[in-house]
Amino acid sequence: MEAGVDVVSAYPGTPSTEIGEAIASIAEKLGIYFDWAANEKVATEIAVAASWSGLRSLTMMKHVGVNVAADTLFTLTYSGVRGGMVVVAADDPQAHSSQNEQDSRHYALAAEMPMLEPSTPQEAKDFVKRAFDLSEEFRLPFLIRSTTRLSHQRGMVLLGEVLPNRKKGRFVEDEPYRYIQVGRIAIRHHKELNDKIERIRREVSEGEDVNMLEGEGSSVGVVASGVCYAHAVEAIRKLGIKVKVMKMGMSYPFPEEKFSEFVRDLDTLIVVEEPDSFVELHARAVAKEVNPSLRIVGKKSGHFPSVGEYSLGLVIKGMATALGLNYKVPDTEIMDKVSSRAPPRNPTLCPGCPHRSTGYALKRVLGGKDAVILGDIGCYALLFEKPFSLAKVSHAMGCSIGFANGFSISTDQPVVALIGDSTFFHAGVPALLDAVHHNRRMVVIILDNRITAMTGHQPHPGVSYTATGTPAKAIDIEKFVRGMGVEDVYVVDPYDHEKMEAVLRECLNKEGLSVIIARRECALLTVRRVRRSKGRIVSYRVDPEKCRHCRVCITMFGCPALKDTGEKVEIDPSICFGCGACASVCPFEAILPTEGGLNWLRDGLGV
Amino acid sequence: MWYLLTGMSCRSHKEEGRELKFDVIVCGVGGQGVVLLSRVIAEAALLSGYSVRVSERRGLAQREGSVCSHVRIGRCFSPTIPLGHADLMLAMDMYEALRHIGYLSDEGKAVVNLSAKVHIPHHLGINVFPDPSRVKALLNERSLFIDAESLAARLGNAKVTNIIVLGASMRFMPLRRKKFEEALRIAVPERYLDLNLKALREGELSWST
Repeated sequence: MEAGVDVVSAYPGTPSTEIGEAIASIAEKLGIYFDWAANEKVATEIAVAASWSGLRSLTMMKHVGVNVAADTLFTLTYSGVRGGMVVVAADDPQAHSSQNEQDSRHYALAAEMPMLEPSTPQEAKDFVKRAFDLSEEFRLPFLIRSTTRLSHQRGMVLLGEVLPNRKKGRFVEDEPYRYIQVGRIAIRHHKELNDKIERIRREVSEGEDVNMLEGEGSSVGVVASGVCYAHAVEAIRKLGIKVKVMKMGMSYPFPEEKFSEFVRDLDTLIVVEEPDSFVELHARAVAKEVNPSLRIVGKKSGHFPSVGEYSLGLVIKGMATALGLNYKVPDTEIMDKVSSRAPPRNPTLCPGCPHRSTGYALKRVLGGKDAVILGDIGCYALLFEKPFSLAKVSHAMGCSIGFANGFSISTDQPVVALIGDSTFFHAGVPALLDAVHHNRRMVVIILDNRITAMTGHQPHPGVSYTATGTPAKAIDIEKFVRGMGVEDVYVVDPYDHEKMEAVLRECLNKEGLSVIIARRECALLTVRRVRRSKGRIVSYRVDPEKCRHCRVCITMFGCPALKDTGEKVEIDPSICFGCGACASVCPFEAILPTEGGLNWLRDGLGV
Repeated sequence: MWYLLTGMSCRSHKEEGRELKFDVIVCGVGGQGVVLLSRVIAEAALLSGYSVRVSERRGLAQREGSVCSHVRIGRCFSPTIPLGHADLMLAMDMYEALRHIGYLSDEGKAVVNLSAKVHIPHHLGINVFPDPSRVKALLNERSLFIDAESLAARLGNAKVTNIIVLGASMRFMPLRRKKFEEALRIAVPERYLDLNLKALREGELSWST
């Protein structure tokens, strides 16, 4: 806002989603264009076009989203930008809510995209503003790299003035072939890019404000970036040591000269960064030139872990060990022993979740069959857990159908791909085209809960409104899939277990491709709507006379509202959403609504 | 920007904060209001003129996961509290108290709600939770227990359990009650304010009953 951003587009992903949610809530008021795009690549392209039209643009994504956008980004640095353009990559060391803990800093280096790494909430704001100015000055997109502990942090921020924005720009080709990249033209632009990066190194990275030096008169130096800098500063205070510190706010382009001066007279350099070695690699290269006997303490030396997230405690311990200090650390072993009595709380599907019903039907139909079941990225990935133990594979967006293509060729086992609606639009479509074209033997189940649920209910191309609430054309998945050439398409309400099982049985016996659209709105959305419209949620109950404690509802269905008292099963009315899907699971018809009331299946409220 | 959007005030913001350091761990299960609780404490600290930092782990909170917030009041840099350094813990659940007890310093205290939530993986035999009485015994040394759920039920709304725990914890924090009341005014919707203020008071008085 303070940079006067005009156009923002993104695809949700933890821990970057909140940025979009925040912008969506004020977009209209400030005249900022905002949308959730079909995927990160499309979002990036929207931002690029805005920049080429002279507007300021922003896109943000989780670290793995950068993989999707990378194709566009790698050539964008050749073309350059006109209006300032900023890409926020939200890394997730420890893979709290991700499939890996890849480090986006490698992308800065690989795509030659200059990068800033904020350490505090205040810097997160200031650096974005700075990045917009620099982006415009050097005509290059700038990467802002954050990590979970920065993204999910609240602190005090001094605000500046909000700049007005422009709304519309105009596409102008500043020079011939500016935005065309091929052969000799690309080579020429590559050379130009190298020169820009060299200028940014000299004028920004070597300068005073992003890569800062603190302290003097010590033979020990500490270099740290991002949240690790905050850990490092506090660790230094706690240990009461005198060290020189280099705060690395821009590690690409790397401030070679400044860093050389910093390490020239040091005996020991401590590198604090997560999750990969990035500064450490540069440090080794520089040290070889200017101070070959420098002792480098980091991941390679074994003082810091090479995987996972850093914490203040871990940084204190690493530094203390490296410097031979006797710092009293709490006896973690005893504490671990105590805490281990509290088992981890594995995430479960929500009460009323339609995916649970789909999983239940699929598990019943497959029985013990040796099928290859492929999961994807979304809530339904939890179907790999008990009681379903269904998905054997969960990798990256859209992989389920892609892998299914390969398995249908490589094995004779039944092949089932599970994919959510948003994930299908994001990356499942090309893989399904391949399956149609080759008539692959597989069952694709599109778990259509009418929203991007896992990240907190963002709209996608299949819903009839945009991020800011304006009407949008909803793509009908059934028509779309038929249009792609799939002949066997079924739309089933997952709460209707009987029908779902029949359709699954039929599809699994086929030689070719079939698509089942399991359509039922995310229960959280339905409940919210029912509550808003002053409707009532009528929960279900277990008739204690009929319940024989066979536990089928728990071992086959496993809704969080079900509680085992040891003699009977009960339903916790404060958790139950009243979907009634468990009623058809009970062999003794012991599960009933607490009163006549609402029946989602019958009344179709969720569809 | 963050402030505007979350409605967090920075009225009493002083650049460096006073020379005080007080670390609070707030933990519980998704849906127990851990995030709101940490925000109220942060607001109260801000209103008292201290600098504050909040960092939370809540990825899968919606799905009955464990939620933990680090609230750092006063002079600090890192967003997270190291093990063995927290001055106070507010736990909405006994199992969660046990999971995070390692954060407490030797002098640290814990205020623990007498709730022990098990969930479906427990019934499925995946992760079996121990008997609550055993957990209580493990926590006993440095914990004060409060049956906040019953107190909340008496007030007619189970949702204010968290504020009752806050009320019970106020005496261990270097912040005045008035600041917590002001913080509630900022953090909760108008129509629930009275109820929350009552809950705060109820918690505060719970030790004498």
